[in-house]
Amino acid sequence: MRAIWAYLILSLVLSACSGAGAESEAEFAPTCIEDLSGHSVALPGGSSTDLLVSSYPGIDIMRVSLGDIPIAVKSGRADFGLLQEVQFDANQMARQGFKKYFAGILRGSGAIAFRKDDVALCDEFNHFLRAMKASGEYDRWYNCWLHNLDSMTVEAGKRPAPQEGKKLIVGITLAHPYIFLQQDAITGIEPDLMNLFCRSAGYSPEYVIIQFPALIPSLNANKIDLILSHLLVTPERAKQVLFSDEYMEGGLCCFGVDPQWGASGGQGIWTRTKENIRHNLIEEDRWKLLGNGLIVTLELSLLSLLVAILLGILLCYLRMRPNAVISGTTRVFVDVVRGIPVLVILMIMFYVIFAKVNMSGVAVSIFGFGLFFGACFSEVFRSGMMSVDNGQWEAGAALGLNKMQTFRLVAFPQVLRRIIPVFKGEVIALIKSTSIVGYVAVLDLTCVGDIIRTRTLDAFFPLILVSIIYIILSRLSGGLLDALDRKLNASK
Amino acid sequence: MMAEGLGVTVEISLLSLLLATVIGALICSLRMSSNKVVSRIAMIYIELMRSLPLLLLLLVMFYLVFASSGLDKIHITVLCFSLYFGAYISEIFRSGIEGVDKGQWEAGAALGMSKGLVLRKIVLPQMLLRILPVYKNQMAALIKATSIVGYVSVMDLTKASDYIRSRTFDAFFPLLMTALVYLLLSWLFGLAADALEKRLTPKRRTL
Repeated sequence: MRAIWAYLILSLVLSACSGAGAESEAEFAPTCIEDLSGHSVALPGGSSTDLLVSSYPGIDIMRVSLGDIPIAVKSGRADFGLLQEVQFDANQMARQGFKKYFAGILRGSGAIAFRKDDVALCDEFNHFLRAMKASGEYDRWYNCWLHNLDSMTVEAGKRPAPQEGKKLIVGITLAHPYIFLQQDAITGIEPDLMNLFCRSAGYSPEYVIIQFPALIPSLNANKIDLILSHLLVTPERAKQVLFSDEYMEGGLCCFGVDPQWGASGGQGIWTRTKENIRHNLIEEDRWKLLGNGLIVTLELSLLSLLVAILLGILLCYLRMRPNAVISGTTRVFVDVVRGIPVLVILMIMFYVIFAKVNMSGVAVSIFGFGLFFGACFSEVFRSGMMSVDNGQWEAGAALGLNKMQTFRLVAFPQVLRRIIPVFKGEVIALIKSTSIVGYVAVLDLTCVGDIIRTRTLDAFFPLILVSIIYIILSRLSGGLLDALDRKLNASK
Repeated sequence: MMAEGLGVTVEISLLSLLLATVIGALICSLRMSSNKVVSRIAMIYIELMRSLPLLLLLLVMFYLVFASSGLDKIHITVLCFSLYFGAYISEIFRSGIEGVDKGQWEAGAALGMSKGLVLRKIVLPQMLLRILPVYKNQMAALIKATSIVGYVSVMDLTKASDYIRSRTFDAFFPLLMTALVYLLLSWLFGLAADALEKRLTPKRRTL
């Protein structure tokens, strides 16, 4: 509890300080990419934008996820940001303190990407698109989306994704207004098109959110059937995937913080907090998203913990075998697993080992965390076992107990008592490290916080809220294990 | 690109390692101070750091605390890692100091040594030997934890491999490469720590 209060107070003070430190430079208005030289520019890493801007010298490129671009600019981390112009307009970013400087970078067309050998599906989609374009239906629909985003969103909400038919796994990256979450459902220009297609062709789409750089590897790893992410058609990409007909024009614009836009620091702190809660939680039922994220985090933590404990016991048992080969192999295995960052293990699991298997990101993550923490736990268990004096085993044998009985009745109670403090630290570490699963397309608490941040362009509130939830989770689990510790020690 | 990423990873790891040790020692001395308020504050700090995910701390530091400061992003990450691991290390130090028997302090005092002198000449050598294995683990954890800095647009080893992946569309090779490099890093670090451990063990000390 103390920690939470301390954190709250600290963050409030810091936010006040950071707000006051806003710089007031003379306005600099770039008109082309060359002008950006000597400035930092936020853009999505690994995208074609990245490739283009990298070819200009002197630009400090900040590669962040798509949603973090406006936040990076707003917080002063980056001087300018590059975003699809449609995104800038539809998000009404001009009304939120941003200013568009110039547009028309990287004009091109977006298309859906299929696997190279999936010609049949691609043809089917092209056929659908051509028919829609020929009837003029397409233009009408597209313009409707561009000009009446809000009413179209409501309308699209009334046309949910078809549930019947062959399942189609669609890889997406969230980017308002193309694709976004609205009251727990995925909607936007592209999903609406996809749903139209699926309804006419008899598929049921399942949307999977994936980090942009991982989209094409996921497609080629059979994780998804197609990429729906306004993917620009480039020759390099065309070598890897099969592009459908182009269905969307797009171009980037460069934006920065609007110098004319006054900071709204005048309001009292309570009004601002109330406004924040309304904006970040109540609107569009964002608290539901957060709740789902929390459930995913809990589910991941508990199941991974279970897997890790079982695996830890097994590894510890193997490691302590008298057979040198078995114990040596186990030792190498444990050392290797512990020597690789959990994030890298997770990515290897997701993109390499389970690439060909149709498994959800959550299941893969549970295996990944189970494996890593199983290796860690096995060492904790072993240190516990080693701390039991040899004389105890001998005494057990002298009393006529067999090895198993000695373990159960004599060694185990001592081991348990000794390892609980270390074990507690590891469990908390596990809960906290689940925050990285966003990398492999799992919508956990941190990832949901990111999504909310992306939509509300508010860096502060979602971050603080999510941190507090984590603190509560860690304290709770720590408290449970402490209670267990006390109970075990009381019986001594 | 991989090599550059490796350089960044090593730089962040080494700098954070040093700074975290300094911060750890500082927090430990605060935590063990006889002044209740000071030790309480240090305790809350440790609790806070231990219950927050590192990634969130990094995001908070990057987008909130140091948002409008001119600090380089690598420096911010180093600071963040040091603050985070400093809390863990201070607890390691504390357990090491508390592990040394009280009689040793009393014996030192009886010999007319000052507190600082006892700490330096008697307690520290014993404590170092005791905490080294745990310290080693924590440092290995730090090296591995640096893999998340890609989130705040620092081009480290993991992010570099991510970038290569997005350009070559090959998931397998860059990932395995990265894993191997991390393994090598942890192994090298383990070797260095083991050598230090050997040097510190009086029985095995060879000069």
